[in-house]
Amino acid sequence: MGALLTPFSLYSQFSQTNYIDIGKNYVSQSVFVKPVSSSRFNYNNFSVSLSLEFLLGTQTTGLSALNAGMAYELLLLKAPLTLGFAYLQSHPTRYVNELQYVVLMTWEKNRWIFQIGNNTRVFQLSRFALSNFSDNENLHQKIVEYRNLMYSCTYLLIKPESQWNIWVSVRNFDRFLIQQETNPLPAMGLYFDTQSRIRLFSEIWYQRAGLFNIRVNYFGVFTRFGLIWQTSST
Amino acid sequence: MANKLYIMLTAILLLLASVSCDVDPTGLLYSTDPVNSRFSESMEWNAAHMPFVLHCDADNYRLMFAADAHLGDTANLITLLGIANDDLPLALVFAGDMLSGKEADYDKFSSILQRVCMVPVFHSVGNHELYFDGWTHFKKNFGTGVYTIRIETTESCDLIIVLDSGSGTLGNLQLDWLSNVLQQQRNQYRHCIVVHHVNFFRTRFSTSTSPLPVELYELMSLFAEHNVNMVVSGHNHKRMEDVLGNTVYLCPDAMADYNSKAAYLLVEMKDELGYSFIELN
Repeated sequence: MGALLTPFSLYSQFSQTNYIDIGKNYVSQSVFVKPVSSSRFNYNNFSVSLSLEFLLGTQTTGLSALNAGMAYELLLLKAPLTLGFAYLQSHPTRYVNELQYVVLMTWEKNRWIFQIGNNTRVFQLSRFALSNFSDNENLHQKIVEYRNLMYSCTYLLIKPESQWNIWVSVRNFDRFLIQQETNPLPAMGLYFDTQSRIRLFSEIWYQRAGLFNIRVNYFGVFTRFGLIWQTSST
Repeated sequence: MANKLYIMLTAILLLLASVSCDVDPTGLLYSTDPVNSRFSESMEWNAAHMPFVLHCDADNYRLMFAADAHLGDTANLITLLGIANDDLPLALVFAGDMLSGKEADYDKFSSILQRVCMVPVFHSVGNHELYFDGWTHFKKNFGTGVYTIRIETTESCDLIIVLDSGSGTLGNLQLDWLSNVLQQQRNQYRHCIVVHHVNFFRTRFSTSTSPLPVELYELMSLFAEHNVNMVVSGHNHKRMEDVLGNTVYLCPDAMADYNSKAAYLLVEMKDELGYSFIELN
C-alpha cells in the first residue's frame, strides 16, 4: 500500500520503502515478523521496482519472497492511470515454491483508488521436494492457475493533498500476498508526511476464510509499520 | 430517497434468501460454530468412542466418494445408494454439502441412509452442512467431523483422514492434528487418502472459495512430505483432477439432482491406486 499512495511528487527519481509486518494466523504457529525493503526508480512516466520480503522468528528464516515490477503512467479523465506488470516469487515452505505473473491497472481519482488486474499463479515443487521424488520420471511438478481476478478499492477519509490521512480498503492482494478473488482482505491504515521527505505509515490487515462460502471464519491478522523516503524530483 | 430504496431492496433480498433458499446469509457476518470449536468437539467425541476400523478379506477393494447432493431433492442420492448396494464398495464417503443444514434435511438424509444403504457411510463437513445451526444437527446425527478410518486388509492397512473444511479453513488446531497424524502414522499404512470439502485449486474458472494460499502451501507440503496419495474434495460442483508430486487432487461432479452430469468417484484400492469418475445417467 505504501508504494500505491505515492507521496510528494509523481516524477521523483527514487524512493525507498521499508516496513515490517507483525502478525499471526492459523498457519504461522506463533507471531511472525516480516521485514520488507522496496526500492523504486522513476524515469519520466516509467518506473521499475524491486521488493524483498524476509521472514524472521519461525522455522524458516531468511529471504521469503521477491517482487519485481515495472509500470507506465498516463492520464485518464485527468486522473493518473498506471499500467503495471510484476513477477512474484516466494518460498513459503521447504516443499513448495510459488511463482506469480501479475498485470495490474491502478486509477486514482480524488479520494478513491481503484485497482484491477489478473495474476497467474504457479504452485511448484521445490528442489528439495524434487530430490525426494527423484525415482519418479513422470512426476507432476507444478499446478498452474491461469486466471485470478485482482481487485482493490481504497478510500481516503481526508483530501489526498493533506499532510496526513486515513484510508480504508477492500482488496484481495498486497505486495507479496495475492489471495483468490473469493477471499477479500479488509484493511485500513494511516500515514503522515514529515517535512523531510519521509512518510510514516501504519496499517492493519484482517484475514478471514469462507466469506464466499457464506461461512466466515477468522484466519489471521497483521499490522504494518514503516516509512517511505523519496529523493527530490529532477 | 434512492439510498433508502437500495437499503430496503437489500434487506428484502436477504430476508427472502434466508427464508426461501438453502442459504443462511448470517454466515456472511459471523459463525456461531468456528472451526476450532468444531474440531475440539469432534476430538471429544472421538475420545469417547471406538475409532473407525474397517476389515476387508482381500487386499484389493473399492471405495466410493460423492459430494454436493444438496438435499432436499433425493433422486440422485437414492440412485447412488442403489449403485453402492449393487457394487458393494467397502465404504461410501461423502465429501460435504450433502444437505442444506436444516434439521428436516438431516432427518431425511439419515432416514434414507438407514433405510436404503447397505454399505458403511462416512461424512465430512461442508459449508452447507453448517447453515441454519447445522453443526448441532451434524453432531447429533454423525458425531464427529474430524477423524481417521483404518482399513485392514489381508496383507496391509490403508488410512483415510476426514477433515472439516466447511469454514474454508482447517484452523490451527486441526492443522496441528493433521500434521501429527501424518508424522506419527503415515508410514504404518500402504495408502493414505484425505477427504474434506473445499477444493484446493482453481485451475479453471470457479466461484467457489478455496482455502487461503498461505494454508494451501502448508497442506500441499504436508501431503508431499508424507506421501498422501489422494485428496478428495467437493464444493466446486465440476469435476477436477490435479496432480502435484505423488498426490492427486480430485473433485467429482456435484450429485445434486439439477446437475445433468452428476457423478461419483470410484477408487480402486490396490498396490497402484486407480480411480474413475462415473456419471449417474
